[in-house]
Amino acid sequence: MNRLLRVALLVYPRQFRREYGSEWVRTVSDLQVHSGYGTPRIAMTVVGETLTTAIRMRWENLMASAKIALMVIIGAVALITLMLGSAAVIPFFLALAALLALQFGGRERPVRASDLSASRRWYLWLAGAAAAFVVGLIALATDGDNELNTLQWTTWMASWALAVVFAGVGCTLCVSRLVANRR
Amino acid sequence: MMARRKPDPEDIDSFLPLPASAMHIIVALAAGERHGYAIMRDIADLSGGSVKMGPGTLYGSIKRMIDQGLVEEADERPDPALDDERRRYYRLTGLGQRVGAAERARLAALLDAAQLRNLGLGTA
Repeated sequence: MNRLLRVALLVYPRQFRREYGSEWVRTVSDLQVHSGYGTPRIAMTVVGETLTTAIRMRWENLMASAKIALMVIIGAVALITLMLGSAAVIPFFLALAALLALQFGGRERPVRASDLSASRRWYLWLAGAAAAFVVGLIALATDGDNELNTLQWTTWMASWALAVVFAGVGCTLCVSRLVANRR
Repeated sequence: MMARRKPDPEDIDSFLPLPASAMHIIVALAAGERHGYAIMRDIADLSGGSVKMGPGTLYGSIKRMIDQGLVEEADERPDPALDDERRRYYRLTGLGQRVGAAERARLAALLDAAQLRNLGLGTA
């Protein structure tokens, strides 16, 4: 359990770890001692919450400065373009970055981090995975001469990679919720 | 992409509407100083167990609320003899109390409007 806590804490931004890391660990220990929950439930709670909260915190930190946000997006798109060797992917990843920015980059409020109820929406991640998988299938199906062009190949690869990520998050949240409700 | 704006402490309305988790923390702290786990327990008790805030969400929220002057760390422990003195205790600031009161008034007005329209009556 201690190892899991150490790893989970690493996912949180450094400043958060420095300021609240020990309090966070103490509170999880309190949960173990006083809540009556078993270790598997606590572990899944920690994993589920880390997936939904820590990653959001990191993204919000990045998006806190317009300059840094712009540099991150341009850098990421440039890197992906270089890796895939095609400029055709630029609109796809710019659109993805814009969606993420809209989701997380809004007006600052005292609290934007999601609570544990975020795991209630596990099926949305699986639906996203299914949608991304279908997009990949469509890209595969549109190859007229059994050879994918760059755009089709890029779409296929990117959408199936997204599908794997979404499915992973969805399954983890689903298991987390099942364990949480088991008691 | 734009930089996010901070609410203006001179303008209480700029904090509203408060996210539910922030309001839960404010309600928990309205009864006095609490440490992290006590806040979590209070939130679960007050909501009849329907809201279970995890430690990451709790401290993420507290961090931001401290940054914005809604909550502060208490210097003194309520009773050091009865508790682990390494714990940090948190309390509402004057601004936090005013923002909590404004959010309460906003929610009350919404509930009044729902009641005027008989929302929820005659449904399962």
